[in-house]
Amino acid sequence: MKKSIIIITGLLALAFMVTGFACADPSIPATPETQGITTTTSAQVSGWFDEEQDMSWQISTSPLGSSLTYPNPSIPVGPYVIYVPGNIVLEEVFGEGNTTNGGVLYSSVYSEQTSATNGDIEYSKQFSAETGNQLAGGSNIEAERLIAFSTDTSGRLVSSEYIMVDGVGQFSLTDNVLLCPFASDASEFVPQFCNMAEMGSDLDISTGSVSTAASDRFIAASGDYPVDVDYRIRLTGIGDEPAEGSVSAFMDALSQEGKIDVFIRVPFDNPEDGTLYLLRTGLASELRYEELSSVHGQIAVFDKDMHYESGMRR
Amino acid sequence: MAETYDFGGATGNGEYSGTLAVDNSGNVAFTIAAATGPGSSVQTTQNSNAGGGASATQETRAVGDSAFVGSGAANAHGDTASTAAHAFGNAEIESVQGAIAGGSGAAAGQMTELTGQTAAAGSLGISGSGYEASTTTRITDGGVIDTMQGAAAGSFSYNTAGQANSNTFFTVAADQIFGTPLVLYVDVTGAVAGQYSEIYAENGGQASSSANGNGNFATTQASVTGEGSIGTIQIAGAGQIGVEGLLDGISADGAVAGQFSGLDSDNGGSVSSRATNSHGYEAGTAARYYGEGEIWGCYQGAAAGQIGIAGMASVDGAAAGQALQLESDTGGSVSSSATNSHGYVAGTGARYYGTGFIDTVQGAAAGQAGITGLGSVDGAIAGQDSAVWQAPLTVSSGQIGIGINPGDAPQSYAYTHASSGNGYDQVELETRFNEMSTSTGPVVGVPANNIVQCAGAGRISVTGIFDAQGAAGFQGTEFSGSGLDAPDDQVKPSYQIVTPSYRMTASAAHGSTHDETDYSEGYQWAVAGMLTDGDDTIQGAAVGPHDPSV
Repeated sequence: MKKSIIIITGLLALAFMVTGFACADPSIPATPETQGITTTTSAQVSGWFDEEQDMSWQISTSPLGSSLTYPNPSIPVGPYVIYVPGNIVLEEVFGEGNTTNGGVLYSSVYSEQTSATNGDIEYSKQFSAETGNQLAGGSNIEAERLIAFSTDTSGRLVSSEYIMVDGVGQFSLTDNVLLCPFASDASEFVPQFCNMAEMGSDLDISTGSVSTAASDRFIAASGDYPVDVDYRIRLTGIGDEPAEGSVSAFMDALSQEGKIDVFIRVPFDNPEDGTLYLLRTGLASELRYEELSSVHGQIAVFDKDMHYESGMRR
Repeated sequence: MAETYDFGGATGNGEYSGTLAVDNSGNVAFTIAAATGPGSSVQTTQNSNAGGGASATQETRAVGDSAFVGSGAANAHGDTASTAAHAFGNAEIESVQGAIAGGSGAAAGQMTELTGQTAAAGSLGISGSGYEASTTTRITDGGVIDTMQGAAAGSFSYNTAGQANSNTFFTVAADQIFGTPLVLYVDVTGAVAGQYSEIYAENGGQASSSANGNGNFATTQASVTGEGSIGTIQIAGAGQIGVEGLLDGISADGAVAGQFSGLDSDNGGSVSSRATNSHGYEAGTAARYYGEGEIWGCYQGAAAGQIGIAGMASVDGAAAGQALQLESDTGGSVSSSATNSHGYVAGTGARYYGTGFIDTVQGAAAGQAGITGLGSVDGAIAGQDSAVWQAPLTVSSGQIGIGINPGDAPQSYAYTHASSGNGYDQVELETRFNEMSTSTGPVVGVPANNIVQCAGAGRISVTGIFDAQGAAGFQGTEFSGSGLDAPDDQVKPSYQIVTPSYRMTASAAHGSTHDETDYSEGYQWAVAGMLTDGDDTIQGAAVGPHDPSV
């Protein structure tokens, strides 16, 4: 019998600070009414076990299904955008369907499918989804699992878990998005952005003990906290015996960051007339990241910890 | 590549229209107009040009619940200029505007009539080096504004006697409104803004201009609340500025603001100017008015930084001055004051409540001030040359004073004071008219035709005469001997001329040492601290002359 012991430890951290432009991902404020979902699952079974969970969530500053709007009041002119924040008359002219800040849409998905047959299974899971604003350290989606499986026959434990955050948005004035008074020193605008991060794992084992922790955060009252996605999986054997089977964990990320060229910034004298900006927007950075770690055989330890964060202040 | 764009359309809430020009050197100019509400309309002719600079113009009529018309320009060096008007509540704006940007700067201007419940027009210039100048005119609670205004930033020259239509209008308008053609020649490296405006308002109104840069700040404003109107020409600049026209040769490296205004009010008033420099030196001048009456022929200005005036005077600090005529019936008060960073203060003022009249030239300065051929002060100085007199007023025997100085209102007087930073040395000079008296019949008071007061604190030098340290001042007053100067010839014959009752006082304090006098032969002086004229020295507190009989 081929024996192999593979130990993998992964730690990823994506850094998005690039000289000359600022990363966006300003989070999105919670809706006026918020929801909370919590579930706790615990099972100790000899025989058969099945768990399926799916959650998808979209939240937008505009009605879902509509295109992302420029901040009000903005007028696209050729390759430029004329933006006149603070102008009361223009804000009213363009106010219908538009918001003070550029439109932002965030999507998040969490799913798990676990099946165990012909074996002894111990399964516990805590899951929570909170749609309210979060501070640093908080999570909008959080799931923790502890699973142990063993069998004397041909039993298997098959499980996959997936978490994803996708954020897209138009530009906004930094001072309108972040509370930090110094944030606009680095960039007067939060540029457009289109960022997605996916993480997850798949395992198929005949024996072993696995723990996973998945979480994300993208709902916040201001953009002062970065968007986070975290995923960790650790597979070990039971007792002195290694785990046996296969396990993989992955992380994919695509980050497209915009830039704002401010051609002119012309303030008017009376505050009710605002300040006119002539802007040209464009794509300044595109980052793709893919990672897949897989092991197969007798596994003493498989440990992978992945972290993604994106924001104006990190 | 030079580009021009026109844009516009209608939304569910209103209409908008505009034009944009971008040349290949980074110069940008734009116009934009909008109106909201049912039945809103934007009728406009807009043009933009790019190439060797960028320019945009519009002739626009915007009507609606609210309306906005604006123009602006910027160059690659960061010089920006904008001009705009807005009105809310049955708004109507008719405006001709233009903006231009080139390598040496940016400028924007407008000729606009605004009607609305609230309305405002403003212009703002900001140079790439950080100098800023703005001008604005505003009404609330209904009214009409006619304004011609503009702002520019960068390095440029301008004169109001040029060939442009606006220049001609500016000069002619000044002639029509004030009876004086106003021709200005302005050289600026920095930012400048100016306006000629008329405000007709029943319960509001304000016109102001200000400038700042390198810690220097200057502002000038005219304001009416209550019935009344303002006609004003204002200019404000920051940076290196030369102005010819108001006085021959005003130069400032700092900030300067000034106005030539007339104000008519019934229960409102206030014309003021103020300047501060980066060291905290401050000078201001103000005229107020409440009740019937008017302020007219008001030249007023303030400057901070290094200032030269017509080769006659120079100030390194802050200075303010005014020349005006004020007529009152239960109103009055004109004043000027200056303070340096060490707390040296000098102020001068004249007040009149009740029927009266003030004609004054006054000023104040803080810092190092010099008058060519006369002397210098390092501290603070203020002075005035004023006529303060009462218009003919009939009062019955036994009711003397009633109607002249009603209630507890201050009586008419002129005063000037100065004190050192810790208040240790102080001088104060005052001429007061407060005791009208007669035995029978109507009277006419005959106060002073010519009050000259001046006081300074700090180190004072009057060339060839004396040097002083502390505080020093003097006043000289010429009183009319009869009421022949009373302005109303029709009623004059019915008046008995009474001996004017007045009082001149001079006081000085040097710590706990104090001296004062109310004896006068039309001239008084006061010294606190030390004064030497080469032969004699005064130390402590002294005033003169004293009444020899006392």
